[in-house]
Amino acid sequence: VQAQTGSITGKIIDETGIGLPGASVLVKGQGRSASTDSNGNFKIIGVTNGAVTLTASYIGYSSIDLNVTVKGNTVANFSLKPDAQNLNEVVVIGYGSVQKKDLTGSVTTVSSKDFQAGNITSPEQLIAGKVAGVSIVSNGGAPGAGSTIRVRGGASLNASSDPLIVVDGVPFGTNLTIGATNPSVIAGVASPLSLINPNDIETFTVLKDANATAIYGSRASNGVILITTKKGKSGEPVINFSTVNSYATVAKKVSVLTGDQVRAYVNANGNDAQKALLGTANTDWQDVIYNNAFSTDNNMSIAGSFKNIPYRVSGGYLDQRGLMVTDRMTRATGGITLNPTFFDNHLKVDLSLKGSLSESHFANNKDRDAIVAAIQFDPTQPVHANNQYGGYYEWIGSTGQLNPNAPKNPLGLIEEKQDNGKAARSFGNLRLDYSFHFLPELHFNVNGGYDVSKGYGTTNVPAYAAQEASTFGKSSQYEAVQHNKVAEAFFSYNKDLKSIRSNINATAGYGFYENSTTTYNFNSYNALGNLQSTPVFPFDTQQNRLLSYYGRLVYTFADKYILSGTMRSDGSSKFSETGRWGYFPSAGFTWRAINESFLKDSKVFSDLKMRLSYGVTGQQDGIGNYTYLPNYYTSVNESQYQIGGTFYHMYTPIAYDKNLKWETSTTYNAGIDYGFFQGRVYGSIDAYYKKTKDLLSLVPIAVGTNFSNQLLTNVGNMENKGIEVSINVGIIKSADVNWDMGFNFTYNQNKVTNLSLNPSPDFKIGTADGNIAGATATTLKWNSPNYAPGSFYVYKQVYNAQGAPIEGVYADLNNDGVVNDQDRYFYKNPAPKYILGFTTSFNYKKLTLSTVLRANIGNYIYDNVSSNFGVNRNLLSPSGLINNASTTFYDTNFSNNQYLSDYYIHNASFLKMDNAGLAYNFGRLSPNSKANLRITANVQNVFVISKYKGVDPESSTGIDYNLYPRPRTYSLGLNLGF
Amino acid sequence: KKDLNLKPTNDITSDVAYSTPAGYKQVLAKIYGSFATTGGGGSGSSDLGGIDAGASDFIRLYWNAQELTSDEGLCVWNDPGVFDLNYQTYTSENVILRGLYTRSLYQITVVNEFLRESTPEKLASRNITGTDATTIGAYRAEARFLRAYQYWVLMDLFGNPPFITEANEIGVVAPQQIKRADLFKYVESELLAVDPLLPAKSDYGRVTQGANWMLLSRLYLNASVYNGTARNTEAITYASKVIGAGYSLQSAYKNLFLSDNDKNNNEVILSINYDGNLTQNYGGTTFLINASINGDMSPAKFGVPAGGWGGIRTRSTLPAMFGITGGFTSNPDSRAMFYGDKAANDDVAVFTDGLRAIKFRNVDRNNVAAPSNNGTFCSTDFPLFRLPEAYLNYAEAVLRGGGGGSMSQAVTYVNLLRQRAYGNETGNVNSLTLDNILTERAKEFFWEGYRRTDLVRFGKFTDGSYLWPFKGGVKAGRGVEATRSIFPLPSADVIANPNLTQNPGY
Amino acid sequence: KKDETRIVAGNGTAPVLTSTQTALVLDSASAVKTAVAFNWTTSSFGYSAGLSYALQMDVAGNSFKAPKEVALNTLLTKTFTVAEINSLVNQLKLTPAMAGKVEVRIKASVSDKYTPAYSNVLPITITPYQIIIIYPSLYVPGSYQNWLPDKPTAARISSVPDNGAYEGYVYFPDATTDYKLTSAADWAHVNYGTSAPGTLNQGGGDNLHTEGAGYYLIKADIKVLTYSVTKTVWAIIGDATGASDAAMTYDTAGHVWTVTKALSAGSFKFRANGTDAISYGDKEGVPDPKGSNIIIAAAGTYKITLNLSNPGNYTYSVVKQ
Repeated sequence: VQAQTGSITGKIIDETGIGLPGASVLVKGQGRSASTDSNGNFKIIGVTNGAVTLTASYIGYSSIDLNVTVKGNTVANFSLKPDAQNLNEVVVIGYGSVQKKDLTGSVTTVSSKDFQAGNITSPEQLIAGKVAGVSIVSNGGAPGAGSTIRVRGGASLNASSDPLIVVDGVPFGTNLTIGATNPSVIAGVASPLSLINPNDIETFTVLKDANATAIYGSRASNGVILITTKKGKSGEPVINFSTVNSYATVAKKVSVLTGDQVRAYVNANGNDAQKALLGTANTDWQDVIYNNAFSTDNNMSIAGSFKNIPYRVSGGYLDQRGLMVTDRMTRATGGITLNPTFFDNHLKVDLSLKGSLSESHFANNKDRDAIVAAIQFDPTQPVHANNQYGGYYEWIGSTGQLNPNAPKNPLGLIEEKQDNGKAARSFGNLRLDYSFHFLPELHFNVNGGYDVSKGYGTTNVPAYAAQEASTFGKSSQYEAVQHNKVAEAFFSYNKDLKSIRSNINATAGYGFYENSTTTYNFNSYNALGNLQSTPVFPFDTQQNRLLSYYGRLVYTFADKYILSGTMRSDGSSKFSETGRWGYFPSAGFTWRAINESFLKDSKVFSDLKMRLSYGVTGQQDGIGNYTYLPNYYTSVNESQYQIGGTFYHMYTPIAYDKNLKWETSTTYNAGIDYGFFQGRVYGSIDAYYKKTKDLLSLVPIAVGTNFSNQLLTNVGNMENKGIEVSINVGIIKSADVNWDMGFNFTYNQNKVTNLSLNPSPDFKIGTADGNIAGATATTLKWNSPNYAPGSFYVYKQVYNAQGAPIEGVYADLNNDGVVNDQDRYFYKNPAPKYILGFTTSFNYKKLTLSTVLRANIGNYIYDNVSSNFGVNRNLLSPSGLINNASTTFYDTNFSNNQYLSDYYIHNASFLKMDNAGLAYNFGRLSPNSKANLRITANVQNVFVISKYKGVDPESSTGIDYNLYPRPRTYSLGLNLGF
Repeated sequence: KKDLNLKPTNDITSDVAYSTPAGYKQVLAKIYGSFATTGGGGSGSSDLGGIDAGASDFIRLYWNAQELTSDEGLCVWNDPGVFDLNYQTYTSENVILRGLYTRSLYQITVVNEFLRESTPEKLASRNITGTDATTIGAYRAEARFLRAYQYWVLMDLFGNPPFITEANEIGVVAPQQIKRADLFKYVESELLAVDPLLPAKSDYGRVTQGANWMLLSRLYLNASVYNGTARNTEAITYASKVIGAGYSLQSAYKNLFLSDNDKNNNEVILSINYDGNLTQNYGGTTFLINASINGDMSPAKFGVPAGGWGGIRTRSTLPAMFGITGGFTSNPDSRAMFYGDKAANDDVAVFTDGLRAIKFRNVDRNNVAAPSNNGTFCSTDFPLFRLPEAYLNYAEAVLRGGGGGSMSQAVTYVNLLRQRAYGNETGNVNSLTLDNILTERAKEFFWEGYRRTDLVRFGKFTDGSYLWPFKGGVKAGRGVEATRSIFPLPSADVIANPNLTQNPGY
Repeated sequence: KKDETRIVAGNGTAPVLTSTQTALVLDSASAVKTAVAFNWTTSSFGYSAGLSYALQMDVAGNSFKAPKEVALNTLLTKTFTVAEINSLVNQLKLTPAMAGKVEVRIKASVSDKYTPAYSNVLPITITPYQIIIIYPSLYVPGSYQNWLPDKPTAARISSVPDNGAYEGYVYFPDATTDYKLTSAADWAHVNYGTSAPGTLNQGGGDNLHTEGAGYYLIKADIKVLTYSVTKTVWAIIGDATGASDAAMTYDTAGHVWTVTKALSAGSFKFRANGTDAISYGDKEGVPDPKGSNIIIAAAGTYKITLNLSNPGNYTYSVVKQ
């Protein structure tokens, strides 16, 4: 029998004639492909003889199609040219991937070469400022602190506005999503995402419109972020070593009175007893608790193939110290990926395993009371004193007893607390992609993933420490284990129907997702070993499950018109049987105008695509696992009640809403992708309109209605609308000089349209994150129809002729002659109206200069530091001590707190330079050496320009209180490959 | 799919909670515990959403509302809402009033659920019969009394609160508002209805007929405040029932307020019970004891070695009723339990400007501190009703023209209290006026949360004719608007509940 | 800086105050009747403000240094009953039954942290009645009033601290007077007589007996069953009187001691019988045994009145002639 198959060999070279390692060649329609070795050579065997089309592609280069006729061994060589716009780049989407030019939804990809540089320890910071429509606000400067991520402003009120994060096809469990409410976090680590080594990440893909996200159904309302990790490559092993060493400094401190200023004020205004309390020191407590901090981040990876099995093994070690003294996180990460293929490429296997171990010493940064104490503690007192509280100065009364109302010594709070956490995490998945022998267009895909983490830690405070003096110290421990499982199976079918110039791409599948968190409860003791509390139950397991069916159909006609539709049905254990299943369809139409004959040969346009889409997505995060059930909980041992000489554990009813249902968003999106002058200028423009109904929110309900005055329930509707624009320009493209510039612009407006809980147009509900520090149960941020969610609801301050605010005097806005709560009004909100991002890199031969700037415009912030501390009653405390105040006290001279004055709301628009970097690429150290070297120098958080006088204008909640300052970091990095 | 029916590990569904008689008792513990604790999760937990534990305890908030607004107490803290009460300038945003209102309604909600789940039909369907069913039936009467008590609190303080009974389902539908006069009828009818169902004697700290009669007497004594019609005869009737029920005065007044006041105590008719280890709460007597002293007063002597929050002290008007105008040394009236060397309230923000009331202490009769693992939590029970109230209600109702009593008996009753206070008959009186009664009530009940109600009944709460330091926010005191004798409904609930109309003047 | 225009408060405009009466003679018999109504116009601070009004009243000439204030919130009118306004002026220490001059004005304020606006000052003449506080008392029925303990003519002696020790002043018009002490306004309760001088007999004994007309201080302590009766003749003395007793005379109709005399700037006290054993200074406007000297700021002729007729409710007044 004559051999019916042949082989193809060849080489792929770049624009300089050097072989491109790791480029791929695909035989169209046969599902066969190969990657080039380190010299750019490839070989594909088992190709059916006859005419075939080959596609060669490499990230960052324009793909090339080549028609060859295979007979025996055929040679095919390619010369790829760089492509700024990467239209042929393969982009992952839900349950599949497509070339960028074929994308039908609003999707933005950032790959590793465009990541933010410097000392990046949490993955999401890699793309801050890089994507239109995505805002990433770090939760402060603590080591491993996470970020608040918002895609298109978020679509939820209180439930959760965090996007779904999918790593290599495995959705993170809802209990792991950043910022989500309890039980969301891994114990023992600041942010769960920080357990992923940023160096292992290849791309971030942000799915924004419903056409892209709806395949993720009930978890997709707030956008989806797909993360792919680096994979092995065929060929010689490539070893890469990188190290980044950085030095973090305090960029700005809260402006408070000095010791001399406090002395002057107390001597002028205090009574004799208060004057007698003054000390002689000039202590800057913020200087005492913050220090400059070194960090080092070292990573090593080896990628290659072993016996035709591509692999990548990576390891990293991070040692990050925080600005607060003793604050430290170390993290060791390891990863292995194997990507073998079997049965003549019919079965592709992707195995990915990642693990990390972190150890943290928390410098009192969980409740941040040292940060608050450093603002408030009397600067006339010394840091140390000779006393029984470990030698830290404390407020002690005349009988030698600690003043229970006084703030504790900020340094003592940190140094006398041993708060250590450890977290171990492993996640991974095995993906099998089988293309049927009898029908290569049909693939069967199985994906099994797991994510297991365990966090545990101990807190120890010595018996003599002031912070736990009443109990004689503290010795407690905690532990939580999370198990998340994913099992998915789907078929996909991709067929060119040449006769009718059509292509059909269909996917259908099933998924099962289970998230479970077990929290272990322990006895707690004081430092003398005396039992303080005993748990009633040894552990508690919280669990939720999701069952899903999903499908997608994409029909392409003549390479110009693409119709796509998706459908997902999710069943969630968080809802009662009647409202458990949700259905989430989407549809899109894409017109690739560039392929029309009248544009095809245009000298001006290199790309033009128009997209229209519609889709429905859901939201169920941030909801308790069992809140639809009428449940009772048993009280703890410390909360019993005595009846007839016996103490009984109380059965407490829990508020519930048996009719709880999905929150659903309907999104309309219109977009244009464009490119001019061979991609020298390219980008996209999107406009969207999103309506979310049955918003889930924890809201105050009429007292007496339920077993709490707050209930998580469906409360109303909201709309988001916005415009996103991105422009990328290659200003100079030459052999020696390259200058690229990227600019993105986002306009987003969120508005609550109605609150179905109560039809009154004046109805409003307070937000869960809108409470003011210092003013218990006083809610600042509210939701009300026709206002942005979380708008500040305040009194209108009245000023005197000198321009100073008059204490407690507000305008009678409803003109009824009385100033009362009906005179509060909605004044601004924390969300920026416009978000701008700007990146540029200038490259001259081996030297590259780059920077990232971000600006938020129209965001407002409430200065809770000043409203809480900037008053006479704080300085001259009635509790027999002196406190410090923020310097805004000089502007107001308020004697008592005026928490709800609009005086404290400030325009916090800002321009930040996130990053300024210099890189020198030595390239190959000698012409024959494989070794290459790159050295980088970076400054992060270079400057902030803002009218806001507080410590940082950027805030995810809009309430400035106890921010762990974001450091200004100088780092030096070295990258060695061989 | 069955896969999606998940149940919590440690929580239990209501079907399970009510499946055994023991479960009913644990819910009964919650009904009582709702005014002894802030939540089921320890001292830091709160049953009330968005209101932290410290601002959600019943006695702490009730005390603030009743005492800080009166001629008895003055608080130095700057916490939101405190100065509004000190100055009688409270608004509908006062978080203390909001917490109290929410707490009272919370307890009512818990009672309602219990009543829904304990009907004879439900018991039968759960195979609870015989003695168990009878016992649970008796719980129902206790629960209804406690609900009526909380409605009395709401009626007295807020006038026109939302109204919910076991007929209202749990959900999201906002309750209707009830008018004060209608609520009076409801509370009266409930108390009368449960009267035959309640036991004459029961476990310590549980509701008895005595508590029911005491509340009825209190209700009738204040009737003209609630609905404009005096009911002094009934006030005498029920006071007399209490007096005849076998209660007796504790021999030493001070022992009523010590950590072992649950022992050998035949005077207290109903109390809220605390335990420094097993019923922990930052409110209740823990608040009263710690807030009344500061670190300079040797907190260990009060049984709270790590406490002493330095918050509340007397207005000079209170010690003045005992004839004390300067520092406190001693007083023939043993009820004068004060501390300090200055009675005048010169600076409202200075804790030592004013005598401290040191009535409640966390030590027993032998001066041994009650145990608590943080040196702060107290085990002293708070008396809600004491026998002396029956004596004084009787005397006042006689003076107000009520029938069925006599002036001489009234004098005798008052002298019982004064004899205990003076240790002999030197303090006895021969005649009584209404003003005597008001003063006597202050001496007997100060720091026990009676004062605002009493001043309102005597027409002295808002009026310019009786002033105390910082009444109305000025040092010399001034009259305030008459509408302030009823507190505003919390604006948070007026917003959340469209059925509510705010009280006049707010 | 705010993005929009700030609201700036200006100086408040003065309300115009009027009243329905300018002279009031108050009578306890009509305590619940309307005495006077005040009306005023609104004030403005130049913006939509939450204004609260308060009525202030102080003694004429005092320039509202220590006014009595009634908070009136947003009201533009205030009606006082006789009892209410009497209570106010009593707090201003106006002498009962004598016409006194007070001044009334309205304070309009947006906050105690911002300068308020005041109305015109309205002078009013008010003759108050004394508010008698009835303390626990013994009654003194006797021959001087036909032995009728239930009649108002029966004098009382009272125990202000309610401690069983009673005292009070009684005027006996006759040459000899017999009397008893009763615990209630009848003979049906405890009646105290005497069996030995200075000692009370509870429920029995002879009448108490006093020789000579005059003004007597009667003290009785029913705990230890003692009593004393001291005749008093009152005078004022101090550097204002040139350090010599200026005798007062008893007004049997008004039940008060008075003296009208030219005084130099200085101070004085009341004392009886030419010694300091029974004497009264001033404490918060009322006679008090431990009180401080009463100040005469400027020399002039003064009418000084001392009223000891209501036990526990002693008053005095100093009026420049």
